[in-house]
Amino acid sequence: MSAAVRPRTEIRLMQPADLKSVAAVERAAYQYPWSLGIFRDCLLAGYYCLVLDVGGSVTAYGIMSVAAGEAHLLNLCVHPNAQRLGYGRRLLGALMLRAADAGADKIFLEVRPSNQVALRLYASVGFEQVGIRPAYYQAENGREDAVILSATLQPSR
Amino acid sequence: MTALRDRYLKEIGIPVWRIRGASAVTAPASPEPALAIAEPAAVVGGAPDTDVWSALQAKVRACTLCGLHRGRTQTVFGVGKRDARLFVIGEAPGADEDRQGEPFVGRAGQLLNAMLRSIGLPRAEVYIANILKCRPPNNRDPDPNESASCTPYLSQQIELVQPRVLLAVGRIAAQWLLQTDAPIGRIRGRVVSYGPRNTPLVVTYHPAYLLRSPLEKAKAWADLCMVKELLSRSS
Repeated sequence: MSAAVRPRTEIRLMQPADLKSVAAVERAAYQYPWSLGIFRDCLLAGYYCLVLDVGGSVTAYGIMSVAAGEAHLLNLCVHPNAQRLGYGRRLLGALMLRAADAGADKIFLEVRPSNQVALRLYASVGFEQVGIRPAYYQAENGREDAVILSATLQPSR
Repeated sequence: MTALRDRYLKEIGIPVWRIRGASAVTAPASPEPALAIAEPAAVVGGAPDTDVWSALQAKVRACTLCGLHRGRTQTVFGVGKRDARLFVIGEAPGADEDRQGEPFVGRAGQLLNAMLRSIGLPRAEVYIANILKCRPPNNRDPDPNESASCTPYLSQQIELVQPRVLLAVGRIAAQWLLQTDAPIGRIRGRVVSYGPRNTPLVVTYHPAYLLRSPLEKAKAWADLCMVKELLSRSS
């Protein structure tokens, strides 16, 4: 009875053993997913990689780099079947805390303007638009811009 | 004539009820699973497994991990087929369950049985257990500490049964299993991968709630059809 069902949710550091599950969530969520190799590189590069584990099943994750007082949220993803349960918000909160702990005072991210759910979540925790990257994303008919959002982080005591 | 009447009723939002009977229940399109099971519940062969089950059962019977043991008539361990393909997870024993030592008895239990039967599963074919094994006083909601100390038992039961599909029944069970504050209306209607085996988990309304809000039965039926679909896919 090694891997028992744990009826609880926890946010923890991503492990190499999670890569397959993470890539599977990514494929389920995005039309143009990152490959498993990209996630492996993120782990190797020492980025902050967190997973949200529901009862022992990887359901959401976030990847963030922190350097020179700035945090960059590279990926925040919840499995489509587990969206609207508050997991994205919880994970985002955990990442922002870690960014502040690591000395960042600002956090940046790119998001598709068509991703209304994400835009609402980011706005609700204080992100504001600071720019546009034209034709940043691959899209079904050509390219889609990226909206650049930024939030100020509360310094950790 | 009936068709026209039904259309009008539908138009003004009045659901048309039919007597449960031979032709009334139109089951989902997929073929019926085999129903030729005549054994009673909780029958299991094979020695080592039986030992693990009896040990777990004894542990639950003697459990004093939280204060609820003081008010119980007896523990309500769980009941059903130990290699069931469907595992039903409820909240906690009520008065009837506390008296009889079995989960989902009484009116809500009868409705649960009918719900399971509607997708071709007699009660004896599934495994049924609650998150809490002891009755909370006055049927109040379990507090998080009680759930936390009790769920390892449920985890072991799920691990032993290794069901193909989990069905969480009611807000409390769903919110606890998924650790979310989302209302049940938002949690249900989806399939979430659960646990280390990525077992599909479906959430539906508690039969006690359906007795009070019969209009929600349509949604519960949709959830059950999802369960049936998942079971037929995994066989």
